[in-house]
Amino acid sequence: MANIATQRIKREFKEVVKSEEVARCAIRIDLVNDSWSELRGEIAGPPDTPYEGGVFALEILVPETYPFNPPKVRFLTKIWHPNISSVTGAICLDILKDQWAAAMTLRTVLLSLQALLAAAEPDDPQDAVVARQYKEYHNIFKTTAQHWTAIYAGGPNRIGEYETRVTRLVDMGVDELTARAVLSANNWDLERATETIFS
Amino acid sequence: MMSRGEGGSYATARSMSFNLQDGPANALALSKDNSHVVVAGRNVFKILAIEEDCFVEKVNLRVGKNLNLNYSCNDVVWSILDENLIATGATNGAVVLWNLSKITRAKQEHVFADHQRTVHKVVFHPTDPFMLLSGSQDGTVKCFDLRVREAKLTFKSNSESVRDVQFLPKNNFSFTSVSENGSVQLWDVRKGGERPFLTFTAHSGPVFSCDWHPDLPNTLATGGRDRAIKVWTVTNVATLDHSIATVASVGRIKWRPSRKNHIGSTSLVVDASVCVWDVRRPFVPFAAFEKHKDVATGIIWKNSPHIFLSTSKDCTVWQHVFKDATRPASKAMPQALAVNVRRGEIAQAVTTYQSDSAAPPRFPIFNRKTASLDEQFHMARSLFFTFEAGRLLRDGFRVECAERYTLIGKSPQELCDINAKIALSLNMKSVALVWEITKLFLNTRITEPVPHIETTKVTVPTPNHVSQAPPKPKEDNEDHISDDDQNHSSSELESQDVLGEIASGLHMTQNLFMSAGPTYEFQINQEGPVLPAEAFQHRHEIREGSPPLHLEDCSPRDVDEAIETVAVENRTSYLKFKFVDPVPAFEFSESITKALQFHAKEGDVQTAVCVWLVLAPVVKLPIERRVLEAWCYAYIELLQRNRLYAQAAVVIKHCGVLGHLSQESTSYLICCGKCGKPLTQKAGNFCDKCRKAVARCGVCHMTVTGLMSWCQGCGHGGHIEHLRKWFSGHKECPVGCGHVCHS
Repeated sequence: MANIATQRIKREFKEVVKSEEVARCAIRIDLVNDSWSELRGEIAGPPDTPYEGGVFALEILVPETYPFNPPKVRFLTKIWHPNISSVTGAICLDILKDQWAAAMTLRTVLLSLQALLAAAEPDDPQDAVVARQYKEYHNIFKTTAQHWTAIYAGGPNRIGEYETRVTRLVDMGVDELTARAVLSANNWDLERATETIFS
Repeated sequence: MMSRGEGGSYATARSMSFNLQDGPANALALSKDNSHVVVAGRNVFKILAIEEDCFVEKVNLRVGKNLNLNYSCNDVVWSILDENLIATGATNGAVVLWNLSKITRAKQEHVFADHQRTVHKVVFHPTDPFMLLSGSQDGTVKCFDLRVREAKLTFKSNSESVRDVQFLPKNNFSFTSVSENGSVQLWDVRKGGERPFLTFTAHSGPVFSCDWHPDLPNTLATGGRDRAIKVWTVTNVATLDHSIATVASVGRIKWRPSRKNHIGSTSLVVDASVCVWDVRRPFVPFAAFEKHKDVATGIIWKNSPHIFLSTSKDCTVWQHVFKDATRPASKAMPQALAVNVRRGEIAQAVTTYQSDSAAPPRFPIFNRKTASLDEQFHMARSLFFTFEAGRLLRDGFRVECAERYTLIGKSPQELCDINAKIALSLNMKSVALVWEITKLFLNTRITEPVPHIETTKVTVPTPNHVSQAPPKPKEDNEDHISDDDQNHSSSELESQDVLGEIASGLHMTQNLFMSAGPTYEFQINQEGPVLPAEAFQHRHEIREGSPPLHLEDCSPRDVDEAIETVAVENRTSYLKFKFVDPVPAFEFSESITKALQFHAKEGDVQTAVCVWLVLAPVVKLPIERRVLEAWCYAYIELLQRNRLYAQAAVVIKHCGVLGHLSQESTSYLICCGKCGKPLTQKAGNFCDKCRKAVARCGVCHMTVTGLMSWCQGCGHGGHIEHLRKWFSGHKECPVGCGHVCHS
């Protein structure tokens, strides 16, 4: 990896480790290997959001051309969010794309993602299904996000009703992940979900 | 009581002095009829009679053995109305009244011990014989009634110290006081001592003296420590009419009687002369009296515009007569010339003369009098021109030379060659010549030419001769440069002339200047030396007091004498011999040094420094370090003035004597870009306040220690390489401020 990139990542890693957000467990960063090109980040779900209580893992890939190009970040933990792909974890955030500035660091990126969880941008979606739900059935969106957080990120509110519907589909021989995803996409309408799966 | 002499008239009066012996005098006062003067100081208190051509001591008022401080006077005043009454202000704060009509030796009549501190000034009321004013260091003015023997009124000036008090002329109730805080206050005695009716600030420092014009109403002059005498018109407000700049703090001032614009002044320090100024000419005194050897402390006009008395710290009293005055203005040069080197401008001021008849009489009031010398005052008018040269030819050449000269990086010969060409291309032939000669010298030194004689009659000089004898032409050259006026034989003088021109670089042919390398031709009798005896004798006569003659030791006797014959007999050709390089190991550094010194002396420090720099690696020229430093400083300053910083840096680096300059003069102060706090040397690039490194690269976030580039628009920047790379892919600022730096 280019010298400048390594230098910067090392400094930024230290910055995150020393930051007060780490001190209150809001963000965290770990090394994956010795090359400094791949890192593992974690952010806590912001309070007063459906993601509260969850901890979301992130994959951070530092390109050779860093800091001229932004790091590649995606969610490893599954998450129900308009700007994050519920399938791949890809993030739609301007600063990770064309609005990247060299002044940004790993810490600011993690904090930006945390902010993104708190304030979604449904008009500029990554996941159109989630975005539509966010706009049209906001309550369902909230409970769904809560449910996902509980299941995948260790959040407190498992929605029992949603759980039983997933179990129903699983009983029909459907993979649990698929079942949950399809149910979530169909606003937990069991019939339409079944239709979607089996049609 | 005292015999009374007549005050001298102007016609008979003359300058005279009296030595007080007892100590310096602080003040003096004249008696009512101007026949006596009282002089007072710390240790002196005497009354002198003013005779026709001398002072005669009449009374010494310091009597008794245990003198108390009451006798230590700061000021003295003689009553205008009562010729027996004298008042003094003492340094202990006492105002003492003396009555000369007392029969006892001690004439002290009464002591007013009202003031807390030194009394600076006492003054009698011009019309009321019983009223006395005193101004003191304690900041008050007190009004005494001599009948009741006590202070009647106290005026608090609201300042540290009152330095002078004067009644307004032709006004019985008002007086003015000046104080050390620079203000002038006007008081009305009738209104009591609470507030002055007018206060204004006259000087930017203590005011030491003031004087109302005796004839002009409302005209007040003040003199202060700010080295100015100011003339005010005081009505309801004070307006400044004139300001005279003096050379030192003004001690005392006194208007000249019967003259509208003349005022006498003494200095408190430095200047021992008593000056009389025309207020309209603010810088040059109208007349100066330079009799005193120390600063004058008191001045009083003897009821005549032509005679006045003064006392001084040099323990003398002088009577000055105007005809003995010096006129500084007449000595002043009315023309001036100044040169602006930087821009090549010349400013010139010249007087334009007006014929006296054409000049209208300025002051008709005095016109009836016969125009004595001191009346003739007319405004000198000057014209001011500036001349601008498009470019000072010589200076321009120097700058171009400085730019193009190569001083390092090549062998000295090459450098000489290059620089000679540069100088020649700029038509600076003399400088080019210096370079060429230097080069030739260098060549000589390195090639060590083998001497050979073409004529058989002449033997080759032996090596020990060589070592003994310095080469001839060089010596001539030296003599010439050092401008020694010695007696030379005709031939020497001739060669000196030529060499002189060479040294000054006017024109020159190489082989004349060179002692080594070029060929010298001497004509010697081919048949053999035939020496007239007179020649030998003659030579010795000439030699007296002159430097050793040429070639004496380095050639055989016969040749030597033959040459001398030639010299004496005006170059009659007898014999021709030719030799090349008579002195192989010629040490030229001294000649070069002389040449450089000559150039430096002529103001061409550039050539001196450059040649020396070029030679420095190979030859150590016997130049004093001090001289060298002076040259280098001068040249560096010239370069920097012409903004040739790179060239100046080269000189600093390679001159070897000013190495510290490159460390000293490049100090700079760095501040944090965020908070503006200056960075301490210790912390380097770390700002204590922001707890952050300053000057961080916007891309790599490291501190920029080398060249930093930043956007003029948003102020963000960093390493040039990083920014270049960033902007190859982005248009916006790398810091993310949103500024489109790269458009």
